[in-house]
Amino acid sequence: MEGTAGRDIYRQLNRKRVLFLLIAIVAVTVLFFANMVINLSAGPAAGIRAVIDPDSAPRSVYNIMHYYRLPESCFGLLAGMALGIAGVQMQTVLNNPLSEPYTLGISAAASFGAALSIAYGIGAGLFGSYSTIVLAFLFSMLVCMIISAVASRRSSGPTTTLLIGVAMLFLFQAMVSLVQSLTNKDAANSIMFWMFGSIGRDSSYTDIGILGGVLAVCTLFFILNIWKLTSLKLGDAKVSSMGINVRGLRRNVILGVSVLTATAVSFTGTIGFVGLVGPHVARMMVGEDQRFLLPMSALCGAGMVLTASIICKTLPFTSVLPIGVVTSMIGVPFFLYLIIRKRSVIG
Amino acid sequence: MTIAVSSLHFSYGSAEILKGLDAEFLPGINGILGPNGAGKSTFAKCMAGVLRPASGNIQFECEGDVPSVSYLSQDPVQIRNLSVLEYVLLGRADELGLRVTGEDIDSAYRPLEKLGIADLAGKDIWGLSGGQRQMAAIAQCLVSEPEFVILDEPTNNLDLRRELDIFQIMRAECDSRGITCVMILHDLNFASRFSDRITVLHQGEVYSSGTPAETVTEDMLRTVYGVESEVTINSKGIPNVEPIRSVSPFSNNIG
Repeated sequence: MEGTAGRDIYRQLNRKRVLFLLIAIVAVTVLFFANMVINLSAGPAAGIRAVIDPDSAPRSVYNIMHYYRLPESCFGLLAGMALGIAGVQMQTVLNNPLSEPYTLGISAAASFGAALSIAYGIGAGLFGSYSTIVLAFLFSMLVCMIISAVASRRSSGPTTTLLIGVAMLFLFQAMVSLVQSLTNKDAANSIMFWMFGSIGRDSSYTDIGILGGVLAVCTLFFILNIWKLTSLKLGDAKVSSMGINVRGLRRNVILGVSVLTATAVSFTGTIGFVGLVGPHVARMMVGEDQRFLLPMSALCGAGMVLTASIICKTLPFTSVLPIGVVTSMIGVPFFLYLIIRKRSVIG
Repeated sequence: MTIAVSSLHFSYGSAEILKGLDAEFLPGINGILGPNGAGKSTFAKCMAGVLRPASGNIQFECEGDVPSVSYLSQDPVQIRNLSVLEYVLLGRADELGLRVTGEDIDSAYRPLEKLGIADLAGKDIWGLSGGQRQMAAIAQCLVSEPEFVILDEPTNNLDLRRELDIFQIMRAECDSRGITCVMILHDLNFASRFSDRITVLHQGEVYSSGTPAETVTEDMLRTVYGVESEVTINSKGIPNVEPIRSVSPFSNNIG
């Protein structure tokens, strides 16, 4: 029968991908609940019961779970997914395997915005308790727009775009250091704490709603363009010849990624390398088809953040070890592996 | 199904690449010849909609309202972590839904069978040789069964057998579906042997166009390529080129 061989090959390829996706969903679910109940003095079972049936739980356990552990886990899940998706789409539209919010300086710009707010109270009158988040958002959007403008220039290659991002990273890191050195000791410490990255920092259900809403809208936009995004790997000339407006697509995706990244990092601070490592692990497992790559990157990002959070809680010096340090410690060896072993990909 | 090009101008900055081209491509194999820098690839990109010309007109005459055009660029295949079958399927990226149907898969498998590389369908495209990747790229051009096929140096990286395969397959596509195929070529003898018509570009303009016997001449080779040659016409009216020496002052000692 015509086409049977092709259909069999395709079915076989997809079976493996679906299996990886299912394993990832189970793993992230386990990590989500593990992060909620790990080191809980009342025990894991009491913690889970307090979430499922709040009325039967003791008040103290209920309070810990509902006001701290549950929102923290939800935030870890959403922030990890957002960073994973932002990373994979940045790598896709900039056609560069090293693109992610951290290496492109977006997280550093968010830190600078947060530093201005913490040190000088800028924006406090206008945005109240959200001033740090709003300033972090605005500065990360500024860098995203600069990168977008550079990437859309005809003469700019992927390397140029990445170098501009690295320049932004150094610039904003220097500016944060400048603010820290000019401000008082308490503010400098607060800035340093913000920069380390965290998913447990005053995460309210409103924040979760904002991040979840932005993530849902951006993901929907990416899903609507899923085949076009996959086809970008064919090169601009080929994709343009198929009648796809490459520049328009790239501009819109960068805008979506910018909003998503800026929202995530303005809430979490610098959680480095999730947007880099997550998509690469996902790519190794499910390939370039964005119908699988997009959810897998989200799951890998979430898995990384939740794992880092669990490590932070289980190590003896838990109260001082920030999540961003752990993700970077996982990310840096992988980054080095990419540079040394995958030179052909990096170019 | 024809392509009519009139007064086509294109510039990269201040460098004028196409200087008012007029050309017509009819159903069958249309070879485009010319030395490096003549503007062949720029011309192909303009026809494929990749580049927007500064002025001029490119008219596709076809059955539907929107012409179905497929283009093979010279860019090397850079994608990895994707099977050859899915790589070919991506040639229809603008038509696919979230769920890939059995018919979609059949449409991608068919050109692989036609090109004799169906055994590579499940392999990662990155793991193939340059020639195999080129074959997969050509299969991708045929996946949407286009009315117009524009191939920029399709025989790059291919051995003699594969080179012949490509010409024979494109000939079969033209004969069975009446499509118009435009191929940028460098091998003058292959171009003469398989093209129905040839258009020769020289310094951004059309130097000559017509049958192979009308276009591949000693005079054209001297003026356009700067090569002294002996051209013989065989019993089927197909020219055969034997280059003798370059007329370039840098190559006076050669030959």
